[in-house]
Amino acid sequence: MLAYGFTGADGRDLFDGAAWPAPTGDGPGAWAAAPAGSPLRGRVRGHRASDLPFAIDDVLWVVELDGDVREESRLVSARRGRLVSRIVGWDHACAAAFVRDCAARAATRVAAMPADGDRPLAEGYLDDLRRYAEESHSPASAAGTAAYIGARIAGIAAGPGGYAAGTDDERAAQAAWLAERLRLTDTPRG
Amino acid sequence: MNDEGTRFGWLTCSEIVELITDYIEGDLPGPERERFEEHISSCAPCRQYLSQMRTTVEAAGRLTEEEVPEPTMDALLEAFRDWNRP
Amino acid sequence: MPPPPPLDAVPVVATGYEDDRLLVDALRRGEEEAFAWLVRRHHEALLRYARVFVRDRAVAEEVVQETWLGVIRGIGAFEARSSVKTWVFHILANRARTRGERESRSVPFSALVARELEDDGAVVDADRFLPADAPRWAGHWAVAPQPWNAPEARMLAAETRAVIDAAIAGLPPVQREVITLRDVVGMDAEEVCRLMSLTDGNQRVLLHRARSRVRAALDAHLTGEGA
Repeated sequence: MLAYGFTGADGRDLFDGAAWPAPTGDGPGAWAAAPAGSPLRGRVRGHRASDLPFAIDDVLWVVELDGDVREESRLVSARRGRLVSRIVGWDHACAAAFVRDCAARAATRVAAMPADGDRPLAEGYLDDLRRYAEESHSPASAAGTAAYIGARIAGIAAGPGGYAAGTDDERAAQAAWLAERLRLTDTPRG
Repeated sequence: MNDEGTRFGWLTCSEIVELITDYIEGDLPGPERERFEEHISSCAPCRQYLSQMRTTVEAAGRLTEEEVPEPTMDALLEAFRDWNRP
Repeated sequence: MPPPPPLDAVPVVATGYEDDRLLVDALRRGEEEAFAWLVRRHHEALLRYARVFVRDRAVAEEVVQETWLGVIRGIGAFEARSSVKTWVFHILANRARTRGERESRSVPFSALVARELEDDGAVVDADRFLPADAPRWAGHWAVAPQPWNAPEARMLAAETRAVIDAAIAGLPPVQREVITLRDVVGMDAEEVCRLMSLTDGNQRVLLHRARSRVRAALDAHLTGEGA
């Protein structure tokens, strides 16, 4: 099954530390597996487009997963995986635009909040979103942080009882932004 | 107003540090693993700590790459031979 | 002992003896190659494990020699209830414990475990995190860990390995044993629990504390400070 996956610039998965060999000129990279002692107990992961905001890192790929493939919450797991091709549209400029977009949505949500209650808290997080984005040592790192803080702000702005729906809503908006910008389908077409 | 962990269910960095071994070993149950990963994906210092912990484990695993000294091996092979003589 | 079987009855296989059944068969037939393979594979790890119990290197070497003799004599009766590897380490553990110079020889193992589980110090100082009354991000890093920026060469250097070695040697005894078996020797959690008679939960806590301390020692060495 084809899916998407992020790695660091070093080709490593940020969650299980596994190294995914780079594709050669001729074709996909070699298959990679995860050791038994690893977060998914020996399984590797990929993502649908809707999952991507939860896994942001330096390089975005189309990946292939093989062996007892399972669709789970926020990821697709399998016994082994390999890198197929790089999605070059995900670069520094794209990550920076993603951050600006998160900040803009967050600012709109905060502005719509009643003046008392949690609004000062949300305003504080909005400041943090902008500041951490600036201070991050890489655009991908900034994007991952902004996505998280943006979700937190959305949850708070949704008011009492609305927290979960608010964060889900923001994460969906983030995923939609990436899909539109990078022309992604839910899973890659073969 | 402020107990964020309780209100929002987000993990703090100090909790991440305490859960890190369970995470690396695959011993966190699904929902907790998800919360852990949501934090890691957003927090560069914790990513750093996780990566350092993995490096530590890898490095510890490389301590046993010494060769067996020849006299030791010879003596052991002789003992093996003696025991197995028909 | 029965004579070795004729050559054409010996299966032609690859040189490794990773399959325990092949290994045990070969050892019982008196195949030196199999025994040499086994010794090379585990000798250094056994020495490391022996040093958990006995400080003196020469004594540790004796314990390891005795272990191998025990393997030679015992392989005929080996019942494959565990892996060969676990069995070999079990032989060593028995010998080392009786010869051991543990600091608290009079303290039973269960009491040592209890003591080490109780020691409730956080693995990273509380002052590295924002306090509970911070307006936002309570419990998050106040001062982030420093990047190590250590190239492969530095991680492999003798100096770095000495730091790890010393950090492990400085651990309380049960943590020292757990991290040696799990990470230095490479045994999985189930085998370690069986070998040490630990519950999985206790093994995980002790491994966590041990690894955290070793990471902190490496951190101090590589950054000149330490988190």
